[in-house]
Amino acid sequence: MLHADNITIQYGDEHVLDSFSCNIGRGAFACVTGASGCGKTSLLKAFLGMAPLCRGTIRIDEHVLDEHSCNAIRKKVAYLPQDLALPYDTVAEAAVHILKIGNMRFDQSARLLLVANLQRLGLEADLLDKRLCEISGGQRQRLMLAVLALLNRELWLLDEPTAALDIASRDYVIDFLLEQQRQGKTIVAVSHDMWFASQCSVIIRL
Amino acid sequence: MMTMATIDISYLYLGVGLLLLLVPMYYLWRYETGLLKGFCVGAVRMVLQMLFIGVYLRYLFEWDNPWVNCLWVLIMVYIAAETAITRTKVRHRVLMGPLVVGFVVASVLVGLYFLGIVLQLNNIFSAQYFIPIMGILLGNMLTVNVIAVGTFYSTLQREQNLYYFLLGNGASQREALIPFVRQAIAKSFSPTIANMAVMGLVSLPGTMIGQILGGSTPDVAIKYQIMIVVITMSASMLSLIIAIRLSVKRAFDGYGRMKRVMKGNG
Repeated sequence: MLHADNITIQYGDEHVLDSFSCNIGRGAFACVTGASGCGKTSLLKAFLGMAPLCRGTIRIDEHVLDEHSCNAIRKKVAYLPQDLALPYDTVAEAAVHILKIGNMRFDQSARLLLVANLQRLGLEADLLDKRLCEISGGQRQRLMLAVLALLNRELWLLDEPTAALDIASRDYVIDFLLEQQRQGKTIVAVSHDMWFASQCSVIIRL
Repeated sequence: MMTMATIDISYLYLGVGLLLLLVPMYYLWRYETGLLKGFCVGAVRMVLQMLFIGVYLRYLFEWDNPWVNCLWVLIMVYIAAETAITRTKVRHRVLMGPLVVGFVVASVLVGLYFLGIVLQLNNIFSAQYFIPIMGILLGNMLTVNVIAVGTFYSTLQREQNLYYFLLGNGASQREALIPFVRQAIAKSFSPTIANMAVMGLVSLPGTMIGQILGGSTPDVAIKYQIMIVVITMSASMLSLIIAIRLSVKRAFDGYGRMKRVMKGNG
C-alpha cells in the first residue's frame, strides 16, 4: 500500500530524515514513534507530498508520488494534522465543509452515520449542535476522526491522534481505529504514546 | 442651478489649518505610541505630494493628451503596487506582477465602463474625468488590496495546518484556499460595507463635498457619489481577486506547498 524508498526530507539546508525506507501493507495499523524533532510529522507530510524530498521515492498503491499524482493520492487519504484550528462556527458547519472535500453532502444519512461514529468515540450526539469554541481539544480531536471516517478513505494518516486525551478517551480512539482497520483501512499514526503503539500491528521507530 | 464660487485658501491660512495636526501629534507623543515620527513624515509627504500634484495636474489638464493621461495612470498603478508590497510585507516577486495586472484590469474595465457607458463621454480619456476617476479607483484598490492580500498571506502563514489539512484530504488547491480568501475579503470589505450603510446619515463623503464646494448642485453631487461608491467597490473586489489568484501561482510549488512568501523569515 505505502512504500518509502530511501527518502531524505530536507528543509533548506537541514536534513530532517535521512535515507529512510519502509513498507506498510494494506490493512496495517502502523505507529510511527521516535523522539521529538526526529521527523515523524515530516514523514507523514512527505507521504502526501507536503514535505520536500531531496532523494528517494514514495509510492502509494500504483501511484509514484510526484507533482502530477499527488492530488490523486490525497483523494485516497484521510489526513489529520496536529493542533488543527477550524475556521467554522459550529460543529455541523465544520462537518458540512469537510464532507464537501469528498463531494459528500451532510444530509440526514450522513448525520446519522456521524452520530454513530461520535458515540463509538465516546461523544454525545448533541455535540453536533454545539459551537466549535464550546468543545474541548480532546472532543475536537475525536470529532475530526468521526467526520473523516465518513469520507471512507483507504489510507489514514494521523498525527498524534491521542495527544491531550485522557485514558478513557484514548481507549475509545484506539477501539475506533482498530474497527476501521478491521474494515480494511490502512492506518499510519504518529504517536509518542507507548500504549497506543502497543496496540498497532506495525511499529516504525525513527 | 446653483452657482457658488469656491473660496480659495491662501498658503498662509493653509499653514494655519495645518496647525490642527498638533492635536494628533500631541497624543501620539503623550502616549508613547512610537507613531509620531511616521505621522510627521507622512504629513510632510502628504503636503509636498499634494502641492506637487497640484502643479502636475494643471499641466495635465492643459495638455489633455490621452497618451500622457494613460502614462500618468500607469505611473499611479506602479506606485500603488509598490506601496501595497511595502505595507503587506509580501515578497516583491510574488506580488508585484499580480497587483499591477489586478489594478490595470480592474481600472480599465470598471473605469471605462463608468466613463464610457454611464457618463457617455465622447472622450473617455479627457483629463478632467479620466485622471480623478482613476485616482479614486486606485486609492481604494490600494487600501483594499493592502488589507486583503496582507490578511490572506499572513493568515495562510499562521494557519498552514488548516490549508494542509484541506489539501491533504484531497481538496484542490483552490478549495483549500477558500477559507483564507473568504477571510481576506471579509476583513478588507467590512469597513467599506459599514461605511456604505451610514453614508449620508453619518458620513458625507469627500467626492460629494468636493463637488458641492466646486459649485455642483447637491443632486448631481449625490449621483456622482453613488457611482463612485459603486465603481470603487467593484474595482476593489475585481483587483483583489485577480491579485490573489495570480499571486497564488507564484506562492506555491507544484505539490501545493507554500514557498517563502513573506519578507524576512516568512
